[in-house]
Amino acid sequence: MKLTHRKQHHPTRIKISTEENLSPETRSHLSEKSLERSRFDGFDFLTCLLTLIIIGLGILTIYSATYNPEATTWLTGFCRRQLIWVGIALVIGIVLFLLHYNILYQAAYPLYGIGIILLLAVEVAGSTHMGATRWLSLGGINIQPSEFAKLTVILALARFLSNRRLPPPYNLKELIAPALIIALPTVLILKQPDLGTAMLIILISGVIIFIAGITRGTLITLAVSACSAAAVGWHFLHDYQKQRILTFMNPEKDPLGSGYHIAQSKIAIGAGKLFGKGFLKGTQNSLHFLPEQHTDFIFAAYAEQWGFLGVLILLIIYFMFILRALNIAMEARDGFGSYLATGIAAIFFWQVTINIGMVSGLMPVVGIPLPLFSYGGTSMLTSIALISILLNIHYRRKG
Amino acid sequence: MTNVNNSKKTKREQIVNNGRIIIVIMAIFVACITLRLWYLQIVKGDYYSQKSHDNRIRNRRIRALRGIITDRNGKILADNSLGFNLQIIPENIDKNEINDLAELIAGQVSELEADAIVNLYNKSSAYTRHRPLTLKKNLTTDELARIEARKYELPGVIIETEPLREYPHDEICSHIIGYLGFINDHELQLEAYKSYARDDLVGRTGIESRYQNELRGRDGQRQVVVNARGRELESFTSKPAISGSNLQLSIDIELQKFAFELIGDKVGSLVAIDPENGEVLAMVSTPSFSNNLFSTRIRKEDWQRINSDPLHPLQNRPLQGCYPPGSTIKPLIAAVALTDQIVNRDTKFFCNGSMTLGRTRFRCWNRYGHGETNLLKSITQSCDVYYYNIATRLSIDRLAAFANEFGIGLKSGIELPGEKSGLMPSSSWKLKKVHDQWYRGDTLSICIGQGYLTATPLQIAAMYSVFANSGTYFRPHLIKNTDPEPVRVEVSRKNMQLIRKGLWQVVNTRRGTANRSKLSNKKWEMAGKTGTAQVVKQHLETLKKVADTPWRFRDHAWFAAFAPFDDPKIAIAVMIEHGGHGGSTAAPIARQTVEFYLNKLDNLKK
Repeated sequence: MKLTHRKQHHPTRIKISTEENLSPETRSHLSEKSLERSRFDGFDFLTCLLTLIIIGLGILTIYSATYNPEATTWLTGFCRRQLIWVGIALVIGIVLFLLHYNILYQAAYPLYGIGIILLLAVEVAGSTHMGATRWLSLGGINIQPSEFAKLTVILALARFLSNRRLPPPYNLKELIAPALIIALPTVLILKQPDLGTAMLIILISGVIIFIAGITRGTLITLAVSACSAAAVGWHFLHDYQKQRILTFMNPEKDPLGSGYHIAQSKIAIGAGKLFGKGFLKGTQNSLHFLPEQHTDFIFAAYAEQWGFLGVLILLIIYFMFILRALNIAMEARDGFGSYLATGIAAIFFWQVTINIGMVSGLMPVVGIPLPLFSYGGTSMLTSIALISILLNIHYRRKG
Repeated sequence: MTNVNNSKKTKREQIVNNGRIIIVIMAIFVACITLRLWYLQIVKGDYYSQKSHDNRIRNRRIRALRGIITDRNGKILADNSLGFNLQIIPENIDKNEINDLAELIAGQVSELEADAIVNLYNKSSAYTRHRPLTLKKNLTTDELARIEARKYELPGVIIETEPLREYPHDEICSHIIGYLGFINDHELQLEAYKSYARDDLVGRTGIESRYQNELRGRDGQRQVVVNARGRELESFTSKPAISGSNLQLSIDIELQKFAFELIGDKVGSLVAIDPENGEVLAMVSTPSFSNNLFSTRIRKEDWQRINSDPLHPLQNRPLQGCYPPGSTIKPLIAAVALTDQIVNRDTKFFCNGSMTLGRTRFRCWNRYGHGETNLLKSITQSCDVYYYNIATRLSIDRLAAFANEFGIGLKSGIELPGEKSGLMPSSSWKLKKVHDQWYRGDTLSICIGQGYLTATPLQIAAMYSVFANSGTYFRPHLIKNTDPEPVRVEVSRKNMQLIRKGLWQVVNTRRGTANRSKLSNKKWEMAGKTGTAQVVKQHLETLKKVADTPWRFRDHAWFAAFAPFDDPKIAIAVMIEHGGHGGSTAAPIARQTVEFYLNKLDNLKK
């Protein structure tokens, strides 16, 4: 029905040829319906627009956060580098968009395997910075396998759930298999230790499993056990992690120590008031009271300059973006696409929530950047690649 | 429909249903964050604005310059100079160059190791790298010149200047000026030091201590905009510093220096007072110490050396040393005897070398006796028996009250801390302290300046300035233009003239005990009195020669005088510990000092 409806409105069609390497669902889908579609019909201009607005605001804020009145060029180092990263990321994004996302379905398990191997390699040969072994040096390039593992868990989970013949909602016993997929890399990452990324993987996976469907009893059991696990887990935390959490509870107690970051970013945000201090007028930021003012704490620099109104606008844009991603998940042509899109929405949602929560003193400090906004090549590449996959899923949605 | 399709359909429904629930949950999260930001920016916005402002404005202290201390002629006694400290700023030094740089610096400056510099450099963290680190304080001029000459090879090396207290005359008048010390933790908690901060210097002794509040001035304030690392970006003075008041002392530093060098390595005091107003012209205490050693933190070995010296160089002998005044007290006894008509100018007593009171024999210093002795002769030849005779007729309490008028037994109130009053005993004093009644024999000892009686050289000098100006006591003081109230002592002019004549004869007649100390310039005449204060009683009994007595058992030598006789410009007391006879040790010092001063006044007049 829907297909005919669309055909009437969009006479121009293209045929998408990739029929091999498709998921069983898709293949069965293909057997019934044609894939012909308008060239631009499936392209999600709204998501693109929201993405570009966020990137634009981010670059403006990076510019102001690293602004140096004595510099001779108008583009400071960080700003220029971020623009270059955006450029590279866009090229990769376009390439990813042109491929059918089902390549990811095929690659899900092998990538997952590579992710685990890299995590094991970190365990054996990783380099240690500030007490945590997170980096792997490959020919002079330091990579952080936990970031990569985060994506492969989503892919593996999406493939596993979409492939499962067992009908949802799942009960506790039926969740053992997906739980193992999540647990394996999570445990390895916890050992590094990288509590932030491990938590993020659990939270993102949780959203995927939730959208796949679980029974009410399981939900309650999981919620209760998560709380008790947190209590037990406290004893296994490293001192610096405990300290961060304690500091978060009472940051003013130690304003020049570990509470310094939170205290200063709260001052920056609060000092923005309703309308903000204005572009380049943030003193907290320009006088370097803000720590990591262009990376993890960039939101505080933004809030200081643009005030509550600016903050509201940014939050709305992010929320629209996430809604759009969930919408794509609900409209995806197959289970894999849905779960993948949900995972991507969850990544963005949790990163934004945790980052702003942390900067505004709602959550403990964990090193999570504000996606598309913070300075950082890896973060920008990952985010744009994820959005590209999102657009891909949307473009190839069920007709 | 296949099984697969069935399950897929169920999955699809699940996704749509659960997706809506997720949207609601996410919306709740976003609402929470929005509320939080609303709270921070709207509810607490003003609070955080203020905090943001406070964050970047720091109040820095501008140290007030301490007041300068000068002598009566404007010569500087305590000054502010600049100390040069060698510092490095780690952030301006490349990590790869620090080793070479450290070697280079160590080569220019003594007592500095290259390794120590590198260590210091490595210790600075990212947040302290802009802060200068002090490598060495108080560079010598040589070191300063070497560093300055190589300035361009030494990036990140700076010379910081710091105000230092400098005493150009060092040990010559260190007891008067005193020195500074860093305020300690205990003092910081006291109400009196409320306005002080850590690292403040306060006067510890001398004028520096007594006039701390006046010399200190008031620190100013500078507001600076700083960044998070404390680096100053801009600054403006919000409250200028007010320098401390300058002080002019009555001391004549040239006279002080002359007297100090004259005393040399002898242990003792010299006090010179202007008898016309009580201004202290010179006040020497030996051995002395270098107060410049204290102007920064004193080195431990210096402190131990000064503190463990058995001669106590830190003691300010002119006002802290209490000695039996010996025969220098005799003019005072003569004055009270004349005033109370115990004797008149013609009263004679026979001296056969001693006097017996009860069972005790009191000796005259001249064992052969002075024969018939009147008042003038008693002063000129310092006959003890004459004063024993007065003592038998004199009440000790009357003497004490009379002596107090001349400042004996009382603190003069000179502007220095730690002054001692000496002791002018009275019958009530003895009852209270010795738990015994006053005996006549006690008075006998007092009247020749022995026994319980002690006085400081400052008191003796003040007493002789009363004889110098014929009867007016001025409180001795160190601050110029204080103009203390003149107080007449109860001695008639006629009696005063008599005593003054006696003092004149001591120096200017052949029989006088200080006849060798006549002034060489005939224009002026000096009047004075020798004194020899017993240290060990035994000595007087055996009458050993001075040279045969061990130093610490020798008598203290006194000489007190004034000149010129007709119009006295200077009254002086010289006291040499264990100096033997006053006439031979103390009098020459007094004579040369007086001559130096009178010549100087004469030259100034011309």
